[in-house]
Amino acid sequence: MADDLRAVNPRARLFQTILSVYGVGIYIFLFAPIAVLILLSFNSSSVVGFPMAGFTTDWYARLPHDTVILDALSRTLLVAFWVTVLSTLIGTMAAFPLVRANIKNRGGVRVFITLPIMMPGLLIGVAILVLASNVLHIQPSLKVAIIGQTVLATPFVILVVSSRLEALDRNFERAAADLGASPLQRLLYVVLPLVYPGIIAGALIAATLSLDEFVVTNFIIGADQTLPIYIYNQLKFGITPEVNALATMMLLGTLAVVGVTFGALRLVKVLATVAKKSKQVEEVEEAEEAIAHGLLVPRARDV
Amino acid sequence: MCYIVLVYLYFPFAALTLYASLERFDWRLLHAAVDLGATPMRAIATTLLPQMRLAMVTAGIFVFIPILGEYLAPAAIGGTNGVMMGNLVANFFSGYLLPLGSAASVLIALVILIVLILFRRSLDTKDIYG
Repeated sequence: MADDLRAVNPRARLFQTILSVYGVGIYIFLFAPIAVLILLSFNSSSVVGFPMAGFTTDWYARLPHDTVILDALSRTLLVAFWVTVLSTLIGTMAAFPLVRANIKNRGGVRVFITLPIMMPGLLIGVAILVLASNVLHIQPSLKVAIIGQTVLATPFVILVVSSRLEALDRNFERAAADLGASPLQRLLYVVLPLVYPGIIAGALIAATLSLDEFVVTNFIIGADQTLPIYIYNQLKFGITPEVNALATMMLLGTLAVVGVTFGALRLVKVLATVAKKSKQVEEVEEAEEAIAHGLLVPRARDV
Repeated sequence: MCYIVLVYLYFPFAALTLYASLERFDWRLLHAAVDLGATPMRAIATTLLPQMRLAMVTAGIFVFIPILGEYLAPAAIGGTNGVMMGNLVANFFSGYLLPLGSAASVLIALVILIVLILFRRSLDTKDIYG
């Protein structure tokens, strides 16, 4: 395509150069801060900045000995776990009626359900804070934070699962029902196996959202700290290489969660195809055996 | 400084939306326009841009609305000049000026609601994401 554009416009090469430079520039713009963050976490000087004094992994070695960080980490994981479980459960259950029930004004309902995605986290945070502390008289705590993050994460799960569910052909279920499957069996053996990539993707979004959520959590978690809040509080006293190291680890952790899940999904797919193939081979062998024993007369079509 | 950071934070939202739209664009239209004698600029203006219009509006909204409530970036790096609406709300609440904070929040929510209603057609992302 580039070649025929060049034939049309003599300046095409110039534009291509400009666009390439622009593209590289955007990448630098996006990744330079992260690169600097990672680079400076290996700086041996305790002052964060260039020039680097030397290479060290001390800051990483210190992380596991810092009880505040460890506490924050365990709290973050706890919150992330419950948020993932709750929002995946609620979101998946909400997706079914949203796609299948005979709802009047479905578009409106969908917009309302997904509104928390558009709402700034700040508003959700203060709204939950006011509701919990001034109306229900519940002190801000870890539990309130879990509820708040679940509010934030559930719409994403609903969106992902319902788009997967919409693509599902309902005739599969009708066929299963025709063959005598109970509603529970239809759900377990037909719907869930077909929808589960959506559910896992939703859970993944919920987990990554929860792991680095700051704005909502900050208002409603009370005295406890999760990792993002710990990092933010550290910023007030100036940036230390330890925070850099911690942020790098969080970055790696988030990437690892996503990578492992996608790897697992692919593995399941590969295993499924392998299993299917070996099953087919088995069937063929059985059939051949049966033919050899004269139990089954091969029809012309099969041969 | 705050501007650069906000661009940095929200650039991906806009890029994703526009990318999804560009990916579905039929590039042969550009060739056809040039074949029919349009200058390259005119070809872009009459084929590409009209099809991108919806995606551009959506991208703008996806960026505009979260920034209305942006709190973290100005708080972390905004300094004294960088106070945004979101910081104001947060300050009201941490100062126990609940009615004032609530009023400011409702104001933000109202603006968002108006934007959403005005541009509800472009928010039907099915057109963009397919």
